[in-house]
Amino acid sequence: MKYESQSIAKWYWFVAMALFAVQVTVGVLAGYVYVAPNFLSELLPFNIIRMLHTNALIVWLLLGFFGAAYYLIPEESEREIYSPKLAYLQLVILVIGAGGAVVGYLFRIHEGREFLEQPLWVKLGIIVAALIFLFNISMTVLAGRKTAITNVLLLGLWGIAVFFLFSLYNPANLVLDKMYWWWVVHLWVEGVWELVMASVLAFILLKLTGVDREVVEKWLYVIVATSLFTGVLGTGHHYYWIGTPGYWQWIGSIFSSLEVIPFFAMVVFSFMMVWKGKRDHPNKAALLWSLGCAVLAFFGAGVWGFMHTLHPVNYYTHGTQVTAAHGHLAFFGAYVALNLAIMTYAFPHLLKRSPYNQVLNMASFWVMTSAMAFMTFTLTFAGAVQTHLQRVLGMNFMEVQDQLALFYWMRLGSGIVVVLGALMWLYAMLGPKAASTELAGQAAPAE
Amino acid sequence: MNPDIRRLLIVWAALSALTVTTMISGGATSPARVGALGLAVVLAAAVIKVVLVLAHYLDLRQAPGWLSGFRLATLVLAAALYGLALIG
Amino acid sequence: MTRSRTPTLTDSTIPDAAAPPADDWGPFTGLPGHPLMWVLIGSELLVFGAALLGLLGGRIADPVGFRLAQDHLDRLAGGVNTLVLLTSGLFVAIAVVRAKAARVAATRGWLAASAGLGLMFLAVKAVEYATEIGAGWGLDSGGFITLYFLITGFHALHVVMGLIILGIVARWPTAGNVATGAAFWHMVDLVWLLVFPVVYLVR
Ligand code: HEM
Ligand code: HEM
Ligand SMILES: [Fe+2]
Repeated sequence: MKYESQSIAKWYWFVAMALFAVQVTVGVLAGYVYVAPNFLSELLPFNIIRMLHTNALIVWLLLGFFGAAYYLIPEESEREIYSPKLAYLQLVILVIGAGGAVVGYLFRIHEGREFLEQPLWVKLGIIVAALIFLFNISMTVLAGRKTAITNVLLLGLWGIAVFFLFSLYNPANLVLDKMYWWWVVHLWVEGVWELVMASVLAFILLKLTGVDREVVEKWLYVIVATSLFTGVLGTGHHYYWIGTPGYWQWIGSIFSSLEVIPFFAMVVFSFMMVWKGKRDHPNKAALLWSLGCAVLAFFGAGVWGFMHTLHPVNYYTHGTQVTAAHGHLAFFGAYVALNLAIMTYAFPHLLKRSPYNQVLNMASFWVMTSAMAFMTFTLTFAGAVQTHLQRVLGMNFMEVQDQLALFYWMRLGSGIVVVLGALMWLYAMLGPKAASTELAGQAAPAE
Repeated sequence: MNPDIRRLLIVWAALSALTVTTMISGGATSPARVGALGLAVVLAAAVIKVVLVLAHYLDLRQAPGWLSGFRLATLVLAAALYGLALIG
Repeated sequence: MTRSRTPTLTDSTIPDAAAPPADDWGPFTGLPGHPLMWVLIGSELLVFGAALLGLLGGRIADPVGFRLAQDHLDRLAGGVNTLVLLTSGLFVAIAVVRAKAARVAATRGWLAASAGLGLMFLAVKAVEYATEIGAGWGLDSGGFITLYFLITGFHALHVVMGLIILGIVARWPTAGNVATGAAFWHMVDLVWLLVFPVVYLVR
């Protein structure tokens, strides 16, 4: 850590880690309700549990991104963050908003609309926090050295804020409601978040492999260009059956099919960097998470996304467990793994230690990844069966659900393993440094 | 005349001739059905034109690897289009 | 594949960027124009390729409907427009040759001629659209008609964008800029070479 203000990241990440633990635990709760439907149905109905699970996910991922920005921008811009005070104020606002939202949810106070259930005052708080954030980092970047990494990161973060504004717009017409809802949900994960992903990955790989900045930057431009080219009109893959005009079936199918390109490019990029790398960085765990991120995002978003993105296929699979399978692996691969990668990379620097507890950290990677992969397969099978019984044979929804019970048990099992993996990772990061698990050959980290 | 420009003019003449061929065998002035052979001519002319544009207008002569890559992709696309056209 | 570059006096008047960029773009090095333009070109070709496959795929499901609608297209106009674009492409290619020789006035002249033909293409297309829309066709008509409007409309939007790009590079006619703008224009041309036969003629 070269700059004092980088330590802001630590506080963002502490909150993110706590919410990560909550998110996966509540996920298990939701998975349990699937097999024991009356569980907690009075106290904490499924819709509220689900809301906590998905909202906690989004909020901790965003906190992770904010932390990543506060960590890497000083190093890239070669100067301290413009105002650390504002950064902490922003964190306080976000924590109050998130806490308020959770308490509200427990009392059934929410606005509906999946992912965007936060009450209006929380949404406004988020916007104020976002404005503070953008002001703070933009001032830092503008005053300092400009690199492709900070440019792309800034573009992504501004995009996140701009598209979030559409969460305020909720027209009474249900078609328009859904149409704009996707402007937040889709244009986030398949647009501007990808820019964050690419730039943060580029930063980590630059540090870990010591490859020339020029090479990294060119890849970054190609990834940004292809992800925006495909992702923006790719929104059409959500406009097949919501009442929007029929031509979206073609626009959506064609452009979203090409959305695999940026994810594929990120895989090639990451492996090329490691292959060309001149540096043997001691933080092996960070490297594992980074490569894992690129590969799992390619499968979760690229392959599992493509699987149901053509409109003749989506006609059958829309809103089935296939969607849930894809949603889980895509979010895990692209954004959970990204956050765990940057934290794994940065924490030793923030704590002024050499990389620590790496064996446990890497073990947690394999545990979490295998369990998520298993969950994905399970849900995919469940989705295939559901599609056939419900959409092809026309069986009744609840009858079909009974047929899927075995899959839901297996999902619950894999979910418990995910939680164990997450706890392993948290312990590796925050727990005491275990000397015996150190990798051999520790020198001072290269940067 | 500048040799580059002379070359471009020759290419343009070839492209125009191929376009006229396309219009004739593709029946641009008559509503009659175009047979399998006519379609083959139309698509083959399109492939040749695309490759000419790539090589000379876009100057991919300078990058033979890319040129053959694009040529292959165009051929595959045209073959797939031909197959679909015959089924339909 | 290194292009021989003999510096001439006029070279200093226009900074030359046509030579492979000093920085290394890996496999993209050696392509004429900016490498990112080639990323765009590749993506566009994929989009149009997929759309044309979709069109002929959709036709299998409804051959009669497609045929009835397609017979209302003005096939001759489509063919003439092909010739217009090819000629426009020739002019832009000549502009690139002139730009490399740093002849600003000639470069601009050829770019303008090329853009003029681009406008003519749009005019012909507009006449076609006017007739078709007059007959009650719309983007929302479904089947062949929707695909026809999507594909040719998306292509026409690229012609418009290409005209803007030609305008920009005419304002700053370095060899590198002109090569980049020309690459976009040729891509638009090339796409039409596939769109015309598949949309208008296959039956
Ligand atoms: C880091 C890991 C996880 C991520 C990224 C994640 C992500 C998500 C997302 C995005 C959704 C909404 C899906 C949609 O809208 O289709 C969701 C729902 C859900 N998740 Fe997770 N989740 C994770 C872990 C878990 C775990 C460990 C479980 C435990 C079994 C679980 C169980 C569920 C359930 C039951 C739902 C509701 C599905 C439905 O409504 O049908 N998740 N999760
Ligand atoms: C990291 C990137 C991605 C993430 C995090 C992600 C996440 C999700 C989530 C959570 C949903 C469920 C939304 C809901 O209805 O509640 C969804 C739906 C969908 N995603 Fe993705 N996705 C990503 C990338 C992609 C890509 C690249 C494609 C296509 C190639 C794709 C195709 C789809 C489709 C077609 C649906 C709609 C499913 C349906 O009709 O039920 N996604 N995605
Ligand atoms: Fe999407």
